[in-house]
Amino acid sequence: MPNSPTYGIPYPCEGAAISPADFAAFAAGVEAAIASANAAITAARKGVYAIQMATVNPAVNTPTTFTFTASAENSSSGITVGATSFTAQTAGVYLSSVYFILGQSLTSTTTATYGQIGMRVGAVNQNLDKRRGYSSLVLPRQQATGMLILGVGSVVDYQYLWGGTGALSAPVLAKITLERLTTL
Amino acid sequence: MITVGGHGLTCPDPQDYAAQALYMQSQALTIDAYLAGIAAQVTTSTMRPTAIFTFSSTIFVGPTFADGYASPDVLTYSNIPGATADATITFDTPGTYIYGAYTSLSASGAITAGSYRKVRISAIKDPDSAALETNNTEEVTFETNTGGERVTNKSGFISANIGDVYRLAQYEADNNASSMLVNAGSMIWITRAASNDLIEVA
Repeated sequence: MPNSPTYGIPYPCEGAAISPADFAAFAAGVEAAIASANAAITAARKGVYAIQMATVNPAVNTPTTFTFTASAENSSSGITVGATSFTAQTAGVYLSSVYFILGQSLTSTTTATYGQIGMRVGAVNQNLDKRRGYSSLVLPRQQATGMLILGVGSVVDYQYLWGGTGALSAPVLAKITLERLTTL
Repeated sequence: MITVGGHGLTCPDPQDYAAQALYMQSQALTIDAYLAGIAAQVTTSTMRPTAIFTFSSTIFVGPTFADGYASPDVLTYSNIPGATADATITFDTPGTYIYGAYTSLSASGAITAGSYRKVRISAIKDPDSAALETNNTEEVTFETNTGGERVTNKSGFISANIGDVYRLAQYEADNNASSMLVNAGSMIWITRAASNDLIEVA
């Protein structure tokens, strides 16, 4: 029997003797087509995004890459997740955010003059959020949001840099997201 | 054939019983095309209208309460037909939009203690009209010493209808002894976050 072009719904040829099995195959084909379309629509509506928990503990004046510690959610295979980076599987415009869920205290002999988030594509900085440190011993929480135009296989990672003296008392914890807005 | 429902499906009349194979072919192709159309429509609708505008050169603002636009000049990316390089947007798709900026600011010259540099990304509706309607998101950096580079990201929301015109970006400085620079490479962006309509499957 021939099939319909997209979803392969089978139907008998004109003039052929039609059996009950033909109706059964037709009905099963319609059922499968609806299920297939529904799955495609659900996937499209869900979008392509990845959310990772991450940590970093850089020495002063040393840009250091965030390490992914756990996956909060990854909607599809459109973005693959490595130990420290995302890889785009389709060319598109992406929106990315880094948000500190836990800033950190500084050691008692430490001063911080600024903190800086770097979003990198292929190890080249794209967007930054730079903020002066407070005079207290607490490194301020930060967030950065930026647009990235990525090609197939583009690798995105994130760095944190702070200036001053001394050391952090513990790692900074962050949530990092990458979402595809549209394909190119 | 008798058409049933609103999706082009048919039911055979008694005189069509001899043409059941043709009927099933017709149904299969109609259902196939209908489902493919829905899937394509949903996929297209998830491609969010987005535009990115970039400053190709450094813009001077200031020195004292210089409150005005520093417009980008490059349309880096857009799938919004009504977007122009100076970050003016005529919307053709209604919805709620999120806009933001990656802005590199720095002071030019000596810094006045206690002065500020401000990034205010204003979504100004109908910028040529007398009655401005603005939606602002802004961030201020106060100077306590000799200053230095300042880079920040901010974002806000607007609700736009078809034909609405918005212009983005405004920068303000209050440095008595210096100007402010919006550095080359700074960018402003906007993307559609959601529809304003209730979508009904019928």
